Amino acid sequence: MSYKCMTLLRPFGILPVGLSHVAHVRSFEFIRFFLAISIQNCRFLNTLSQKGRTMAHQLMRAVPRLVARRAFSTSLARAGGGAGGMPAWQVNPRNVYEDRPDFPMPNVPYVSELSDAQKALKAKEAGDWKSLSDEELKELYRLKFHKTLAEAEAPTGEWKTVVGGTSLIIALTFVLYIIQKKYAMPAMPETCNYEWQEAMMKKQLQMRNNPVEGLASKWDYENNKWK
Amino acid sequence: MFRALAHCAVNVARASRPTVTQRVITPSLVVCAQRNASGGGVMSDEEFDSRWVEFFSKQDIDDWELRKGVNTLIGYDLVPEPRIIVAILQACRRLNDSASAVRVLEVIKSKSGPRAKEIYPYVLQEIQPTLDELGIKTPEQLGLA
Repeated sequence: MSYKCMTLLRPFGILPVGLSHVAHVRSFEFIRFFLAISIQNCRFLNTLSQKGRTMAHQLMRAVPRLVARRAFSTSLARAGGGAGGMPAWQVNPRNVYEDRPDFPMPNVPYVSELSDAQKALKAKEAGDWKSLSDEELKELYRLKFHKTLAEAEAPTGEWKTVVGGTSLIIALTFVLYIIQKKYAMPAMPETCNYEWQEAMMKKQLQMRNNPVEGLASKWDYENNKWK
Repeated sequence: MFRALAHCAVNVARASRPTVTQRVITPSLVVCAQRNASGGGVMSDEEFDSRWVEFFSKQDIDDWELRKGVNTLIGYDLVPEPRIIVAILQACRRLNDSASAVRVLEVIKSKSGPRAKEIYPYVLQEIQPTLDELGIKTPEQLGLA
């Protein structure tokens, strides 16, 4: 799920700890509720011995502790992400790796789990940098960053896909329109016929409609043609 | 009777109090209208640079401070002065972070925008002693540009 998606979901109580966690809390709450009711019943009926009641109480008190322990263990996941823990972006949505020229230093390194060779390289980095070869420097760079800024800013050519895809969809709508026109739509009303409109015009001229500035003023009635 | 006594006591107390000029504090409209962030003069360029150099020269600077500093500095509409960049590179050295040092050089180039051909070589020329001293390679030398 993307970072934006996570922040959108937040107000609705869906935290980036995963739904399973929420489900666990709910089931524990249910158990606690059930125990509370049964204890009340026991008190009411006075059928349970003092010892049994204490046991039930202890059980009830243990439930929130269990819940708390579980919540604690998930929130204790390493902020850097990786072994045994949640990914860093789940701990804090801002810990998302992204190559941006306006935010050149992301909060998390690109590679957070290092192999032994990479750890050795890191250890070497603590020494003199002059002893590092170009290849090693490059590898160190690629551990911390995914793309260089030049690579990140390089044109991807995505606009071609966008223009192509949009044109395709527009073309498809034309095809649909033509098919509809031919097979689905009713015929145009007769007032749209050329003959109808011609007759209409003739009638207007015969009526000498709008003789000062309009239609009739443009017709030469003596020679029967347009002025 | 008690009332009379109390009255008397108050009078005595009043008489024994030393006379001081009391200043009446009236809330001034001018004070009220002053906003918190509007005070202070404009920071000079020199002071701006010095403060950033001071920030990055902190001996026990940590990863977060370095990232935050660089990201904030890059957010301004300027290309940092070479002496700030030197301080950043030295901070990278203290943190054993050669990748960030290279990244900073890259971002200087990207920040120079259309005038990168004038500004970037100038900056490189100014910080060359530091690059040599710390063994930092430019992105061009590493083939990362």
